[in-house]
Amino acid sequence: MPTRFSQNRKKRGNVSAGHGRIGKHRKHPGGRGLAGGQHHHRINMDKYHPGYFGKVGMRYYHKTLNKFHKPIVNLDKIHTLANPEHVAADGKAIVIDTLKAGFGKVLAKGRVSKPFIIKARFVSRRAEQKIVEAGGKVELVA
Amino acid sequence: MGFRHNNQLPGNHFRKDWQRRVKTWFDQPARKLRRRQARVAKAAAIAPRPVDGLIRPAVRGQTFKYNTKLRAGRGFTLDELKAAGIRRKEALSIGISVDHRRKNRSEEGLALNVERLQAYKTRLVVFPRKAKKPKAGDADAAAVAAATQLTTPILPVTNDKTQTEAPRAVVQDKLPAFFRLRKTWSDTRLSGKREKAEKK
Repeated sequence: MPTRFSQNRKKRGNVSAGHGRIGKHRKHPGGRGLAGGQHHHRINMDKYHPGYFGKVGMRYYHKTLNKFHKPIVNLDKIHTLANPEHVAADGKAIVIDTLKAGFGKVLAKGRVSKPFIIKARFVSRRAEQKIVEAGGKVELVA
Repeated sequence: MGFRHNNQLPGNHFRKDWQRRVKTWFDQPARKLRRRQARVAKAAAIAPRPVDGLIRPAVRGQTFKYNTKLRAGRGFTLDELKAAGIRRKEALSIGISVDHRRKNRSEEGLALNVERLQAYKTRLVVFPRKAKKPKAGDADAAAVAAATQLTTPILPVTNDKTQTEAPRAVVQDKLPAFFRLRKTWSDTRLSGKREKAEKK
């Protein structure tokens, strides 16, 4: 649009050109960026961004995450780890090594219908209960 | 007025001179070619030795996360070489890596690597230094003539994940596994306190 059609042409010559005498058209009257989050913009910050300031939790020095490596497997998936060639016959139970399959802990979601011997690093109380009730057992491995 | 209403907070970093840190990959095709040529040149230079270099031992990864996995290590320990009947200096001359710092902490690990060395030895063809005067331990002329450079990895270390243990009868333990886990956990936690109490 050419300048001559701009509404602003009408305000030329006026002192403030519509931007006010008291407030004035200044560049950043409230500060740039996130300035004043705990001061003059506190209301907005507290209202719309709760939890922005401060910390949560305890400090933990030298937290290496390898020792927390514990991928979980639930009982509803556990039969998929078994070797399909193994058949449970004459009172014997199929052995499933969850550690070998890359899992750290066996949890209790799902049902167990067959007896299994489950080798695991960790097991939950209810998972073991379900396994034992189905006639199997849990063996701990390192 | 910095910001108004319920909007996302600005997190702009306008002063970062990002163009200075841009890394281009225009040399990638040329680099690929260069590496390829270098590999071919090295293979030709070390022929008829295996392209893979020295044979490496199978070792366990470190830490709780990786100690279930086997991988190639730096070199065979002196104990492993001794068990396989290979002298230390001889080992390096026949393409076996040696690591004098690693220790054998389990018999299984030792046995695994001794087995590896023996498998290597059965397939090894030692060329005589002087073709006309072969020494003891060198391969005979027919084997030398038939030998070709190995282009594949030497006895690659693999992790077999198949469930091998055969089905067996269930014999319940006296105490549940979960109880034993909790017991071990609490014993470990309380060990310091108990030691202190015993001293008193």
